[in-house]
Amino acid sequence: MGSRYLWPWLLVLLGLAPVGAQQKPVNMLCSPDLAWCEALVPAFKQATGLDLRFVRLSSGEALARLRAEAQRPQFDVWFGGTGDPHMIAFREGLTEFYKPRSWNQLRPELRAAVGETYIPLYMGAIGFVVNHQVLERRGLPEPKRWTDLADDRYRRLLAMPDPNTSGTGYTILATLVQLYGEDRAFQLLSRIHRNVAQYTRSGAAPGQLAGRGDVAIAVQFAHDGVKFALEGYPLKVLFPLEGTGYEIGGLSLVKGAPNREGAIRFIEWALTPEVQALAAKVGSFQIPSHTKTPVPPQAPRPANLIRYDFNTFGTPEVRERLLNRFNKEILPLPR
Amino acid sequence: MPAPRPLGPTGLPWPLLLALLAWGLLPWERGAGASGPASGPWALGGGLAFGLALALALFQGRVPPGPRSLGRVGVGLLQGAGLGLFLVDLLTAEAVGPGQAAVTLLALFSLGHWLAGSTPTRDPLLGGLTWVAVALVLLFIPYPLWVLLRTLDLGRIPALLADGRFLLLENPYTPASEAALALAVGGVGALVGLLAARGRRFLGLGVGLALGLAVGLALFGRGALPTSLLVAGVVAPLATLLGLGFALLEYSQAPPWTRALLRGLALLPLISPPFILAFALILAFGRNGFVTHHLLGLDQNLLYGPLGVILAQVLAFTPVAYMVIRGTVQNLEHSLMEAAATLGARPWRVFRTVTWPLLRPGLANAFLLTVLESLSDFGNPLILGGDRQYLATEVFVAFTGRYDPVEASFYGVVLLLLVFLVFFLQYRWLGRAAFITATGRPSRGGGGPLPPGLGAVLAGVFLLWAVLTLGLYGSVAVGSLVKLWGFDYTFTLRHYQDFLVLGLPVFLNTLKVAFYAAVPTALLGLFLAYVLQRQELPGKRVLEAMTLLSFAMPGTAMGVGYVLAFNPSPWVLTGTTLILVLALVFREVPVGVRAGVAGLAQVDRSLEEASATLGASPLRTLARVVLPLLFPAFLAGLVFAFVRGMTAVSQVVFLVGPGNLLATVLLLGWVEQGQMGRAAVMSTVMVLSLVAATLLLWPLNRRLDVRLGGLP
Amino acid sequence: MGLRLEGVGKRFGPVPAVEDLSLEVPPGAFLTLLGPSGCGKSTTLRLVAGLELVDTGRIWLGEREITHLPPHQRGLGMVFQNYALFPHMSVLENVAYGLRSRGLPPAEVGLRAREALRRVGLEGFENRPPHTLSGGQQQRVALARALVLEPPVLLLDEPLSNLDAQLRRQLRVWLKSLQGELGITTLYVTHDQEEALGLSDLVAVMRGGRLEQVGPPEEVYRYPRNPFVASFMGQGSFLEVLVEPGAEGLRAQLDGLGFPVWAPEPFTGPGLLFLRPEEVVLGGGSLPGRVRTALFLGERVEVYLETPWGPLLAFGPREPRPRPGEAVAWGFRGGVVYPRGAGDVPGPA
Repeated sequence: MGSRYLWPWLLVLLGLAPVGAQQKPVNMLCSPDLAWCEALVPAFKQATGLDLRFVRLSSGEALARLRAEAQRPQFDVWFGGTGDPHMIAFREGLTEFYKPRSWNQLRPELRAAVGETYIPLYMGAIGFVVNHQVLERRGLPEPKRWTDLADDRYRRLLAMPDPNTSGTGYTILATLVQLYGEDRAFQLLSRIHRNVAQYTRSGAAPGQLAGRGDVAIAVQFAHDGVKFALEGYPLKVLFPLEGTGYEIGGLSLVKGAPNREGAIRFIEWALTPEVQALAAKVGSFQIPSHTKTPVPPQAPRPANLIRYDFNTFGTPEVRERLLNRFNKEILPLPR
Repeated sequence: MPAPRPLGPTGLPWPLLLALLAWGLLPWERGAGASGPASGPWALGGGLAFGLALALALFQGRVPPGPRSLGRVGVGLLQGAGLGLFLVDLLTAEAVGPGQAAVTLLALFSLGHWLAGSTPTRDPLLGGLTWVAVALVLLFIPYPLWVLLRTLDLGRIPALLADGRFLLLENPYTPASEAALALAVGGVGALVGLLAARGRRFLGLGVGLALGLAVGLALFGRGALPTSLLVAGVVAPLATLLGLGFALLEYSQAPPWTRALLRGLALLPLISPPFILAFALILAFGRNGFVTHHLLGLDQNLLYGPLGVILAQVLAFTPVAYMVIRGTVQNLEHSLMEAAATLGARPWRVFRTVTWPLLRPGLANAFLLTVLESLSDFGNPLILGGDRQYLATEVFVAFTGRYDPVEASFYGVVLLLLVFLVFFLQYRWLGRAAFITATGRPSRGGGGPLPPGLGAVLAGVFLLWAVLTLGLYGSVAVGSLVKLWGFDYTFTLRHYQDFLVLGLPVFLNTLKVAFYAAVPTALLGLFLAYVLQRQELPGKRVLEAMTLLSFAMPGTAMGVGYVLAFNPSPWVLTGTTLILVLALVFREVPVGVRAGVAGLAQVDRSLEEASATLGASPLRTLARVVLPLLFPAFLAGLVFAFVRGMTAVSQVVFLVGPGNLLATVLLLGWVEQGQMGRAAVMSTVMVLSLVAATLLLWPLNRRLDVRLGGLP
Repeated sequence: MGLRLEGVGKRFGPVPAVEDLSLEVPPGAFLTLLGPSGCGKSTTLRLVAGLELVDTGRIWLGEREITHLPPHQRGLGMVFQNYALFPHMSVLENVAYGLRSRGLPPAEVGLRAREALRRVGLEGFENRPPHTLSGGQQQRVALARALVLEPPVLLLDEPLSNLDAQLRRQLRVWLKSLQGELGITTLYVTHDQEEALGLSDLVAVMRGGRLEQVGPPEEVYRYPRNPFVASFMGQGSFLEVLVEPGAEGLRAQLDGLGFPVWAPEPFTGPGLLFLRPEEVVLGGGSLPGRVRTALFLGERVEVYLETPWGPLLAFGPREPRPRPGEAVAWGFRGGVVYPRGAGDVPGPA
């Protein structure tokens, strides 16, 4: 008879057991490569004893998530990803600017470019990630300039991220506009469009397609291409001669973070040279923002960077207008 | 007029009053942006106090007086308190005001308890449970849908309809006029309809025009609507035809190994995440695919786009069609064919004049189900869709990529309308009964031998399909063991080592979540089935319709509904494991209900009546007679809910949060990011474990496949 | 303990299943509800059991009103047509089920359950699953399961109708003696009039949800209150006759002769004369008739006659077998008359 009445107690014990002893974990929105995010978890635990939990979302998705949760944020900190969404998040009051102790040791040009909106984490430039096997098989030359992408011989051999869903895609769009002026840029895009096999949802996906040989040329961040090449894919990273745009990857403190204290500890920790050096070990070859962090030898170095105007192209109005134009004038074109 | 004698604990609803008091005393969250939901000692205390009060109420008046009754009341009190504490703890997960939820539910329970207690037919406890179940169903099925609809801003609909991502018919950049072409096809359709429908020309004209326009739209238009229609329009007939062929093959005089292979292979896509086939197709048929590149030396990229999605969906949904049609073929009376044969009809004539007309309802059912599946499919278009838009993925992209809840809900509503249209057609053509035809009593049906030519063709097609399916799953398994698929086929265990670190915790979490979801799904399903079948309840039909609603809703629409409904206060649930569990539970609860109804059909009413006349209370009857007899049904529901929970993507992709990532979502991310090796490991582990789970319970679940058959 | 129904009514939707039914089963009596299917007899039983709830009226068990009690609180024993044995329990567990529901100590439960099984002659079957037993054995288990609780009233819903004819006869005898032994008040539902006559202390004939007649079997058989009861209980023929008053009661006019007859309510004029075949004497009178056909049924021969007043059924001699077309003179010992055109004239019996 007695045993019949034991089960609720068992349930209570089971239910109560995990509660209590734990410290509040830090919840991170993580936008760079998954491996980087994954590498942070044990390192942070070792350094601080705190648990780090993350969800990997591309920067556009991460912004969407922050907006959705504006009333009651679940995340404490947003790590990595293209700068524009970080800037928009700051302007919309989703994140707050936190000046880390190491602020003055960050690369000054990056600091200057973003102002006091978010913390620069790394810098990475747009490049062409080229599958040389596919090109050789077809006897095609490597593309050297943005205008080469419009060459008819590359028909259906191109992949680039969709600017609607990917920060990388928007950076490419903005780069072209800054290089050629808006109207000429769209003319060029309409010709490139015919060669595009696929606009991908995420920024790193074109390199995947190129790596697997689904396309020959991927337009995306060069450092991702290097990573894939090191994994064994027959890839090569090139930079357009006209100059190229770049991103300043961000690190932001979420406004109203449930664990603000933990988030700040994370930010301070993540900016240390040792932690920044972690990225190269797991195949992320951006140029780190801390001046003392060694630049990984594999990191691609573009010869010619444009003067990317983050302030103009980071505003929602400009973004909205360019995207609308892209959706109206480029996407419907037949291929 | 004899007054109804109040039964139950007492005539006074004092537990109810107490509950209401506790509820009112809670420090409810006021205003937006407060630091957190109300919890803390007040709510906890209230919940506990209520648990105690309830236990007291339940045991008062029920225990026969005697020396031991005091002890039993005490035990009851402890039990009630324990349960209250457990409930509170269960709900403490980060977000929801635990006391609020617990006390609200308990108050509802108490209300039902009291109301049922004052009528003699219903057991108070059952009544209380019914109220709680109804409240939960209301909250988690129609409410998110309502929020989704409410989000839709009517003023923006014209712009959204005109958006090229939704529908682009007249492309200004092409020389041809797509609208004219579509209209022409519509005209042809109208003409055909007019000629085909003798007698009811007007109807024929209308249906023909509508179908023709839809076809024209699908062929010439761009954007999510035409693409989804195109894919569904190709996949459904193909899958239905293949399904029919396989079903006929199974029940003809095919060699026994065909049957075994057929059943095994048909189950595989049903119990694996739906987009694994898409992933495998890339491995086999992509530009560097093993078949297309290494074997055939082709250099093509046709897989990304509608073609690839169609291929993946045909492979994935043929089993669904097969399972549905199988039920119909099973019920074919063999003697009818024999009668036709003795009347001198040749095999082909028998097939055409007897078999085919009998099969038609099953075919229509399978057709519409595959249309539904194809429309709401999320994973395959996401992976293989190329840069075409699809309704189900646009819901997701609009919400997470462009963060536009209005647009997301617009796509969700369009999808929902299409699904309702399909259900409406099904209802009109087949009537309600057709939904529930899957009886699963294997009889000596099956229609007998096929015409010789047909049999050979079917066997050939099936072999091809079997080789393809096996090859695809096999390539996933192999892919998990090679360094870099397509380039470096040296053997490695590196991906498995990675999996141990990165994938295993997520996989285990998924197991946990799926199991957490499966138990309440099966229990709630059984309970609702019992209430719907055996209890008098006003509004029973509405309740039934509501459970079906969640079943019809495309997963992405439901997912967005959940995010929109349960992120703002007071239902702050997003990001918790609880919401994942809830989403799964209420998504799969119709399955549980169906399993329960099927099980209850086997339990004769007189058994319950006998138990009642022997002095057992309704609850005791339920526990001692009904539940034990329903155990196989419960188990079937449990396994099925578990499998569906493990493989669910579309409804949870919005809901995963930090620390509760699910395997399917991670897998989708890995595939998207090109981590093919890891993705292959995860797929292999998932498929193997689900196969193992199903096989383990197979002897107990002979009817599982039939139930699977009826599901969109 | 006695059972009393007062003006009980029950509708299913618009259809009345039982209407204004009042009935009393005295303590220890065996009352049978008899009627064609759909007459409301099973519904009445279910109302008593509490499996359906009455719309109007009251039900009393002795001095206690049970109208609104749920079935499990009524404490009545019930046996179902399909036995309703719990398939997932052994025979013993089935019998013990009710005792366990009452929360009796396990030792007592076992003892009493075994005793009940012994009483129905099923010792040694304790651990068998019910479906391995024959139909008759299963029904005895069901009976044991109901009786073990020592209910004040036993309700039996066509308990023998699923059994074959031989077994039904055996069980009928056994059931009657068991009921007599226990002296338990019993309400029995059947559509088999032979069963009703053989088992009952009282028979209640129902039609269309209403009670037609209640009384001891002999009384109902010999003095049916209306043509329906007459035709439903046993065999008989209706002849169209003229009824006139006689010296000692009523007389029926046939062939110029007046025969003494009984009527439930005295009347004169055109009437229906109901004759049981055993009351008809072939060759023992002067009434004319002609044999249409004769059926040999073993212990008797049924002779179907054409008479000027209508077709007539009689029992005839085995030897010489009456041949079709043969003219026979006949008479009768006693009959019942009903006024003609009362609306409830039954078809040919």
